[in-house]
Amino acid sequence: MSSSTRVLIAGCFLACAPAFASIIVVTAPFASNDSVNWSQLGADQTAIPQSFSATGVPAWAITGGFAGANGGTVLVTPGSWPATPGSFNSGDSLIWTGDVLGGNNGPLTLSFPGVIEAGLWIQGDTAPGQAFTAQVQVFEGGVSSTFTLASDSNGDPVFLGGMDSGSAANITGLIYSQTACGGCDVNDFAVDTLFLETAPVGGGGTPEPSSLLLLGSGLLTLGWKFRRHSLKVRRVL
Amino acid sequence: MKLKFVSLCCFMGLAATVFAQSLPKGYTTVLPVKGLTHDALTTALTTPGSLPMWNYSVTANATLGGGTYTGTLMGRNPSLKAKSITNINLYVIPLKVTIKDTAHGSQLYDPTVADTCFTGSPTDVNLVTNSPMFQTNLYDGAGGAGHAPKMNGIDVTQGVPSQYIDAYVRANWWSLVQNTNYHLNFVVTVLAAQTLSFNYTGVSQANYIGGTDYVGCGHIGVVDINDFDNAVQTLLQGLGSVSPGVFPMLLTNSVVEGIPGTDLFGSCCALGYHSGYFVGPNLQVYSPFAVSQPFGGDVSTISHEVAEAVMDPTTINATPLWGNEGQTLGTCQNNLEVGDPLSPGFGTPTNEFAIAQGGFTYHLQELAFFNWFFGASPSGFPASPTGAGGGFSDNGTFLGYALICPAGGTGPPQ
Repeated sequence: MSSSTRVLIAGCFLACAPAFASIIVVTAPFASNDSVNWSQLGADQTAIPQSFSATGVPAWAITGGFAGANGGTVLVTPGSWPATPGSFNSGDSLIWTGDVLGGNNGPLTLSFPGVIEAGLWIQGDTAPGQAFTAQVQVFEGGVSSTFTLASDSNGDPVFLGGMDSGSAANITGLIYSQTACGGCDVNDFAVDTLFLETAPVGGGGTPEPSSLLLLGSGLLTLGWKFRRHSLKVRRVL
Repeated sequence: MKLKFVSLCCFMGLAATVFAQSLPKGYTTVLPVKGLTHDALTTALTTPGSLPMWNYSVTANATLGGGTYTGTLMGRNPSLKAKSITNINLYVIPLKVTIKDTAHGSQLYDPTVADTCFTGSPTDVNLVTNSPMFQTNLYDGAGGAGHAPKMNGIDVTQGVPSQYIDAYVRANWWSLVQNTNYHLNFVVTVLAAQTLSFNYTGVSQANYIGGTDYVGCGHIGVVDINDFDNAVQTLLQGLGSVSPGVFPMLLTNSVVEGIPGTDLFGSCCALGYHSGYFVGPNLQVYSPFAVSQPFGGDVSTISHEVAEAVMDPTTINATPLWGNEGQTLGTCQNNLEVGDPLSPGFGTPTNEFAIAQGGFTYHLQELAFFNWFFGASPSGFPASPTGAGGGFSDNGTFLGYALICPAGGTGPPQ
């Protein structure tokens, strides 16, 4: 899905349910103002503990954790994981959910102070020519929405994340997992740099709160009807 | 008097001829895990807490019947995207073995004391742990300390010092792992020595003396393989430090196994074997082996056994029928025992590695590749692996793949 599609969905949601800001899926890279590069966790093949912390550039602090018994491993493309130009670029440092004793320790949890938008490239540890389906659970405090996204038949990386529908800095965490992995365990995958939009980025893309209020009040009835159907926009691709 | 002297000389010469025999051939074997199907074993080996394992399913070349074969291997699947280091925790357990027989009384075989049969008289424990099995070398053919021969003309370690089995595994899956950081390492811990005793009182001989009973150095003890394996399993089950997540290897000094019995010159001599038993839902893989100079080996046997435990940890990884190579001369096998077709001393070609390390020249057995058993570019999973240099073994002997047995043997270069 393109950035414009993502914005369209966000805009639709804003129009339909302005009083109930929620979470929408992000499936394409966005304009970020912070990013967390995993090279800070160590060189290629470095073990990552089950719980870890990292700092974005310029400054966002995140914590991470693995659901499995052990931690993960830093893998650098292309020697330890194939590079895919445009997503898993050559020289990128990845978090891989596997460990040196053969374990697979996904899902992977990433938590941080509230942001507007967060996402990353993810790829299953598939056999050649096999696909995977990634999943992300996006949190706004104690509320979450879950989205899944299937790769192409080659198992190329997919971009997956979440955004607050009201462009408020409410996104506080992501849990990445897989629901299917061709030839591999669903707890076996890798993620690239985490991108964050901690404050509005770019000109004119984010509506002012007052504009939202006007728009929202004009469509209140429609929004109420929509709410009866679902409090969240869930897009399964 | 002169006549008596001549007679004595004749008797002594006859005695030497009768008793100081050449040794029988040493070989290795596998004791299948008893009474369970491959599916059960696969489940056991992929249960959390087991050694790192992965499953394969491959269709053999049409010339080998084209059947589909499944199995379980140690390490990580080389066809997946992650090319990582996998560590196997390997425990070396020295076994002090006492064997009692009627002819010689009691004889202790101790791998923790100096073994005077080897240059420099190292202990067998030090000989093994300081060897290229567990110390690293660049297999770049450069010569000198820290370097070992290439595998089929290829530097398979690509600048990363590697243990012998790691180099073999990389060579085996070369088309899948070259230019990557895929490695399989053994992290070695030497446990406290354990003791085993075998009472063969009433048996004429279970202990044999070099220079008297055979041509060679030191003593050799022969234990019935069933007695030995029962004792080893009981021992391992009583060691709290041993679990299915580690690979225990039990080291003896010149204690070999007869199949069955204790006769050095009958149904003998298994220098090592690998096997397993269940611990709850998990499989405990283990392997006893001997260091025995009279059989010509320093670490040849352990290189054979470790490789086979990696490639056939269940002991029943099925293959098309192959044979008439190495220790299978005149017979056929249908398992993924990568050492057997290249075991030395059976008259068929093999090409051991001689690698100098720490002032000692070690001898490591040549090993067959996965695709020797299944044919060139077998289809399935992992997809179409080819070995280093296009070969079918790691030191140039097999240039083609196995022929169906009987007749067996190896086909023409591919």
